Amino acid sequence: MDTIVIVVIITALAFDFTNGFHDTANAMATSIATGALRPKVAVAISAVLNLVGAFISVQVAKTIANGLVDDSKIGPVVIFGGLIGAIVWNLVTWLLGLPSSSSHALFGGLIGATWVAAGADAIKFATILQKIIIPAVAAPLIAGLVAATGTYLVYVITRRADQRGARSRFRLGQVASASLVSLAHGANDAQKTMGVITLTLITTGTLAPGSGPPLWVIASAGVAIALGTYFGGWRIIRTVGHRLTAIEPQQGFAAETSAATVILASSHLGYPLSTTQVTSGAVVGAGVGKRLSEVRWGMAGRIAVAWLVTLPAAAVVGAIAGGVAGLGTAGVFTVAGVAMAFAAVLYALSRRHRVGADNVNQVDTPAVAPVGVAG
Amino acid sequence: MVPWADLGSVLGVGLLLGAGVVALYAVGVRASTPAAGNGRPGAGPTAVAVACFALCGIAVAYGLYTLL
Repeated sequence: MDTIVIVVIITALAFDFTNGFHDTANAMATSIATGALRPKVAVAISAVLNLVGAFISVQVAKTIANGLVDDSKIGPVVIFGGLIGAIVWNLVTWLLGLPSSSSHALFGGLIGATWVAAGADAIKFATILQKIIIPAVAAPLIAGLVAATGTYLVYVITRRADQRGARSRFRLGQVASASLVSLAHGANDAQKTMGVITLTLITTGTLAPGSGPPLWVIASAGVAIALGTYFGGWRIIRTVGHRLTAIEPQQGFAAETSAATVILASSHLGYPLSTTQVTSGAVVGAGVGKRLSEVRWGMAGRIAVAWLVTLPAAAVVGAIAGGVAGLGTAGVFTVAGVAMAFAAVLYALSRRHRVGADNVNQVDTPAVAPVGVAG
Repeated sequence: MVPWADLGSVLGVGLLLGAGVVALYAVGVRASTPAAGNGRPGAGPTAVAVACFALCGIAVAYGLYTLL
């Protein structure tokens, strides 16, 4: 096996790991925030379900770039550059505690690396608008509307119920819906890494064209995303669970159920939406459904900016990484070394204000208002 | 250019099933947790609660099925 193939496989698994810990918040942030699950238990459940999800389907997308670039221009060096762009952006947004889409980061990285390798003609800008930009606007709006409607109905229906009993039942429901989101995440996102590795093996002749992922690819992708999930992106969990709105069990249940439904429905109807954008939109919707003023719109705005910047930022890093890696083996190892050094610096910076399982719920936010009728 | 039909379908299904399941579960919660001081729920509300939770369970099972 060529050196570049081995490097791409390791880099793809590293991306899968960052995808896991970056997206743990999607499923478990609200369950952790409301106390439905203890933090370590939540990430353990999510990790197992992500692993199971990776094995549920082997229907790997025929094109890892989702039709955004000319597939014939994608080789191992382009894939490597794209992965580096995605990893770097995932780590930056993790440090900032911002839930951005790992898929969009991967697409951005691949677009940048392809642009450098094959020119702008290889980029399908109309498809980018269709498959990235419009869904990025639509996902949080749809999920927010569904969650707001659900939250409003929950508070209206249960206003005369015993609130203590109601909360405990909503926590139970929250665990079920969050688990469904975890499973869907594993099924969808581990596929990307499998696709990346499989395509690399095909383009270098290790696998025959049209081959599916070998078992070791499925297993390694599943384990990498599960390990990343268990590692827990606590900074993003804190943002989604506490800094968008004060979440009560009723809202957490409505948000996770709405997110699960929109994710599954959009995939089933052939118009998949970003898990991250759907869940973040649902959390905001859950805040709106109870009381409009409960949403911290400043934080929502910062997240929206991160979503806008994800594709171009990952594309720039992917372009630089792909360009340097294209110089040869020395270029590939230079990029890998710089990326590892950058990751180490970000990790060191994160230790200054460490967020972990023990303090993820300790935030200086206003106390949760008493349960009442939406209004 | 904007795929209104796709987006409309996702929104429609989301509202119907997403908000619908949430509301159904809330009805189950309401039926199984009478207001404080009212004691345990009667046979009727308990049956309603069981039916609601069972329907929600079926919805989750269907969600799992769509993943396969």
